[in-house]
Amino acid sequence: MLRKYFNLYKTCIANSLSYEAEYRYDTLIKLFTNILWIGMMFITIEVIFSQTQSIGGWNKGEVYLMTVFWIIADEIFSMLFSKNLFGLSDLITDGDLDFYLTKPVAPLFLVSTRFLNIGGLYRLLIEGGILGWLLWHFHFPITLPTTLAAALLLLLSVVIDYSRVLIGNTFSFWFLRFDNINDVIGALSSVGRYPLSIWPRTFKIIFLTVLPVAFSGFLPAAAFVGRAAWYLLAYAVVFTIIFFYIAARFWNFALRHYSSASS
Amino acid sequence: MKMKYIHTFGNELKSIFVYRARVLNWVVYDLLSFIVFPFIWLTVYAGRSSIAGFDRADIVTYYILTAYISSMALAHQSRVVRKDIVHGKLNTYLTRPFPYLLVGTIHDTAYHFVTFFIATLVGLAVIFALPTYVVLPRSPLLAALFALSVILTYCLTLCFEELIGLSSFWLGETTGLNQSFDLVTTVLSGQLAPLAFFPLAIQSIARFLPFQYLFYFPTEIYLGKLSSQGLLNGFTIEGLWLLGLVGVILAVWRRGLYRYDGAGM
Amino acid sequence: MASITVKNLSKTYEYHKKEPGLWQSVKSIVHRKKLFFTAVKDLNFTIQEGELVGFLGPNGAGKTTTLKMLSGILYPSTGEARVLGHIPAKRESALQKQFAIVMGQKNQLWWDLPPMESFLLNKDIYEIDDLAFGKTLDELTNLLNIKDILNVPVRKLSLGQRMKCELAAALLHDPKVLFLDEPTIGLDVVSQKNIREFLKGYNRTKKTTILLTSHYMEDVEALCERVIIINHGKLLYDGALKKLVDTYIQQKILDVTFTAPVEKERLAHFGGILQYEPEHCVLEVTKEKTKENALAILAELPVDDILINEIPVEEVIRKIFTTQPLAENK
Repeated sequence: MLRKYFNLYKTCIANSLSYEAEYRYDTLIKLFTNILWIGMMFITIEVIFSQTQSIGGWNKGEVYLMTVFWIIADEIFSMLFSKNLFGLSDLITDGDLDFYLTKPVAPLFLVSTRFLNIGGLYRLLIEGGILGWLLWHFHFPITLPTTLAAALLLLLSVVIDYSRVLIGNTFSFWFLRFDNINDVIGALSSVGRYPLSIWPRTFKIIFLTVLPVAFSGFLPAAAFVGRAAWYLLAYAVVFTIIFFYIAARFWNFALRHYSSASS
Repeated sequence: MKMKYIHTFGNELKSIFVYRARVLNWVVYDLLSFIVFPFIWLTVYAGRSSIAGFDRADIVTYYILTAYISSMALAHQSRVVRKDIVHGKLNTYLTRPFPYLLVGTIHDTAYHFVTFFIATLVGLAVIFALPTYVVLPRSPLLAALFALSVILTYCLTLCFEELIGLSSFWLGETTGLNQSFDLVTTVLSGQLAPLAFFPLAIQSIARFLPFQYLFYFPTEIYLGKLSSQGLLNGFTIEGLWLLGLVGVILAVWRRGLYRYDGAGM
Repeated sequence: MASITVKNLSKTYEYHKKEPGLWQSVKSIVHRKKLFFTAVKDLNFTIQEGELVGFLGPNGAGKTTTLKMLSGILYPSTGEARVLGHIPAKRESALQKQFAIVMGQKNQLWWDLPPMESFLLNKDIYEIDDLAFGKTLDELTNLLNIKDILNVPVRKLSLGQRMKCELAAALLHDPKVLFLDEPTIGLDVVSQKNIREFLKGYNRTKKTTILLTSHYMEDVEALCERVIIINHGKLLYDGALKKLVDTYIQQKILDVTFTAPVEKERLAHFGGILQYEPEHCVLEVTKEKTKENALAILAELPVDDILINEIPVEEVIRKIFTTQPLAENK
């Protein structure tokens, strides 16, 4: 059984590679736009810190770190899942989901893994480079336990992102052309680029539970500079599992109530 | 007003109702996009009472205003225009007495008609909920001028969007152009933060460009930061930009049609 | 009065060639190879009021390009087209109110709303008065049998139903000229027949000039007395469909079934053998000799049944298409 899914994923990778060869020009443009986008995030940080030395107890270097960790988590998620999940709404509204329901494979797997955005690899390389430069420029001490903790939190955040986007897109079963929910989710997730301490208590709780957006930038960066207590790490692990479980249950529930559009 | 235009407006409203969840999403998106910033600035204000002439209430009001303008005064025509050109949908306009540019504008206006109501409701709710943080306009005249400037913001973004969309006649795919344009204007329009917060170099660039009239100019009016001379200058220059852009649009439209091949079936 | 006149009409597209590969993409930003493609070359024809003309040709022949020039979507490169006395490229509303164009897979109907909304919008666009609108709507919905789907959102309709609604929307303003581009493409057999019958009846009663492109022979055979054949942008034939067969084809088909097996050699001198089985054969014989050969076969061989058939028109068209030389590109 596991072998079947593994082989399916191999095919998906192969397809994505040949797609990438076709659309190199597009990748170039996306790369350029991505650099502009990162540039804008950096300008934002510079503008904020032109008026102060720290926000909520975090200095400029740490905030840069949060942003870059967020970018990397977002990039990994984009590469693996975004094109697939974002297209769910259209699949449903146009009645094409039926195609996936008739295969002897879990529909969620097919829907989530159709496509791999290979172009993201180039971007990931650049972003990794930026991270490296940041670490050097702000003289961040690098130790094994903090690096491991940050890496673990980063990976967990990708799973949380996946669950969050899945839940959002599952609503497409009830609302027509709901794909722009992804823009809303994206807008909210930018909260993760900044320290949690700037928010009043209620919001802090919300961003760690119901709207889990604090996990992809803030937590890994906090862990990396040794400012995240061990119980936060434990909480992140437990929360990821619970949240993913909720997302999967919701998906199954929606699938049972599904009915397709006309020809 | 010709019936066909009124009818188009009505049909678009009906379409919006069919996709009401989607439209609500857009409004929420526009309102929440920059929600981090008031909170960031408030912590920066920990030690002092004002930054670059903006006090606490000013800065919170600033972001409420920009959220409000974002949700109801920004046109989004470029994607539609690009699709119509690349997929040949222009054909149904070119073969009937139904002018494309005008009809497209009506489609977009209908959408903003709806978001205006939603955004205003939300705006009023916020004003009631946070009385200490919200600044109200000093006089009805300022409020009226603010309203006028927001309408002009819509007209200005409509022009930009049409131009980007029309460039599809030559470029085909314009998503990259679109995104780059959006990123640049976010900084230079005052949507990210008040222009006064930026280094002087960026401020001087922004003064030469029309983007400042999208967010910064309206908020300056509302917060009473402009003299009557400043108001006059602002509106005049914005008006000139608008006229210039409309001229360019008409010229580009004509030249673009010449290249158009009606394909994309 | 001539509805449509076309004189020396030509359309040349320029396009760019891009080699695959990343380096080529970068290079192409700076310099691209410009190439020209002549879609339509020196077309000349005239169509009178009330005619139903078929515009035939394989894919890429230039049919759709010609229609687009006649409807004002495209500007001609050289030459002149006139529809009802106007130049289409000028897009005068006076002309636009008198013609309609329906393109096979494109729609002018609003996707999310019922067809009725689009009909009402057209009423405003073409400034049709209430009385005329009501009457025409009634006629069309009856003829096309769409009364019960008028209030169903278009995206929920089948392709055949959508096509019928598109036609209705296009005819609400009683156009004098109707351009149809592949109107039956993608439809099932029954829908195709319905559309054809509708068009035939419509043309007869309203005397609307109809110019229709298709690569389905059945469309043309059912509807058109006159055909214009175009390939590689050039006009190959303009005249009656019946005469097409007579002009180009010198053969007929004999389809013979036998009561007892017949050897192949005995059939050879009657004509070319297209199909052979011991008890059935299909022969190709020259026209003049058809009757003579048929009588001879009946006399000499154990015949159960004999049919004299025309060469199918597709064959004729295919022959015309394949014997023309390729067009030159500049």
